[in-house]
Amino acid sequence: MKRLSSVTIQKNESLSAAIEKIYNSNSRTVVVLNKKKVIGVISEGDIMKTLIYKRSLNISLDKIMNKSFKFLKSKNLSQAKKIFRETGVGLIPIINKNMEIKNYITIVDII
Amino acid sequence: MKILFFTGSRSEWGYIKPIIKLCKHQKIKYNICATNTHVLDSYGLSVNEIKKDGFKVSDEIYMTLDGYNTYSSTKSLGVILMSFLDVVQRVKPDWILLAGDRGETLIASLVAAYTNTPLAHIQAGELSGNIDGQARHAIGKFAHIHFASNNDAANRLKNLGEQSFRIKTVGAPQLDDIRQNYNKFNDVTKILKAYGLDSVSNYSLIIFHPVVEEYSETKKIFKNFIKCVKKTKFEKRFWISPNSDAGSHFIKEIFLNNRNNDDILFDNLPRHQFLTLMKNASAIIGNSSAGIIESPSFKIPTINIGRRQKNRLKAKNVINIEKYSEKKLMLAIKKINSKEFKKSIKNLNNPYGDGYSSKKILEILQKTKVDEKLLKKELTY
Repeated sequence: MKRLSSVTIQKNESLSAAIEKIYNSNSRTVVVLNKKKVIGVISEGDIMKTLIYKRSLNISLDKIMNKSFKFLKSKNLSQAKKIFRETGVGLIPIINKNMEIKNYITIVDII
Repeated sequence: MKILFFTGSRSEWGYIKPIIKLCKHQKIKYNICATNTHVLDSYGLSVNEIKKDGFKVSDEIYMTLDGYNTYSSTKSLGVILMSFLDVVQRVKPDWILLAGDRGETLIASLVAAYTNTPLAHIQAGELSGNIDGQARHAIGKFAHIHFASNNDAANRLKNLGEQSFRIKTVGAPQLDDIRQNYNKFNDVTKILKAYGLDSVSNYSLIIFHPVVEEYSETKKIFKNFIKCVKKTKFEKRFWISPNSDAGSHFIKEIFLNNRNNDDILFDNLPRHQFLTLMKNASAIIGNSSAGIIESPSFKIPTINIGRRQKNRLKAKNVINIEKYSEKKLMLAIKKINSKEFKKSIKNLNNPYGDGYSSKKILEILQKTKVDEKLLKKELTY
């Protein structure tokens, strides 16, 4: 079981905290939580967009996160492979019925 | 002839696009002024879709102030008043063409009227159940030509004191796209695949916008709505993000905190993907005009909830629920699944037109003489 804390961040944390997580985790993405519930993901691309549009680095995470993120209900690697191929995301959270993160898959897991 | 198109949202772009396409084809000069959610990253920057479709956007105007409450929304209208005026002064169009009933559209109509620029209004004379309806009729008072989508709207314009020569019944131009590309909206699997989703045989398409008059109750109403909708038996529920009206931030926040893993959110869908999801849905649920205007063309049942589309002309495929009630929603779902209902909408005609509006609209604009008779409006009462 992977350490979820390395790829998750609470919605009220700062953008620099999100950047640090991405830098340290090698997954190019962090999953944004409201308590236990997954409410979005932030990728390196989202952070670049924030910089390109010259938005404040104090911006709240829910303003830049992707709310229509991809997720799986179980650790289905072939399905994950399809998602990586079709959408180009770097990490897929595995989520239970109530949208709580239980695990995650990165591209490294399927190479 | 040079036409200045004004558009503030993705849904409205659907009205205007077929006309601009025809302008391009007929080499008629045009400018596009895109504003509000079109230019917002958080709403998907739909201005990029306009460009991708091959149209040049001459002006992109930021107008939307953060806050998403009634005060910030109203203050935003002040921004577009000053900015759009500069565009009109520079472009000096022969016509300003706009569609619908949004606040920023009302402001654009004010600019047209006070600069003595001929103004034509698409989707004129219809009813809406919230402040949009008031905006639509206020636009009607400034517009020099009214493009009504059906006789019901045309008669209302007449009864509101508009001169007959200004009222043209042409249908809703967003149906042109559906008529022209009807068979291109079949492949829902391809779209779902692009979003990393498996194909689904039974899903509902849900669009729920805030209602400005219910701003203080938005949280309560939407919590109740999502609770009711989650009890429906669709395999998946595909949600489309709401517009930027006051209260939209509550809707987004409540959705993210109350959804389950069968609720799939599409933050920003290009129109052809949206229409493909609509064509293949088992039902459309919510309070969007798409459920009233576009859905009859696909003969898809719509369950329209609340006051947002109140009194609007509705085809037989629309079941109306005034209050947000679980019991009523379940009864409506039972009804749309019945053989009788399915049979009753099988040969449905869309009361909003036949899909040939754009041509009619352009012909009328080309033929209309811009003179004192056109520019000096008189009320008939």
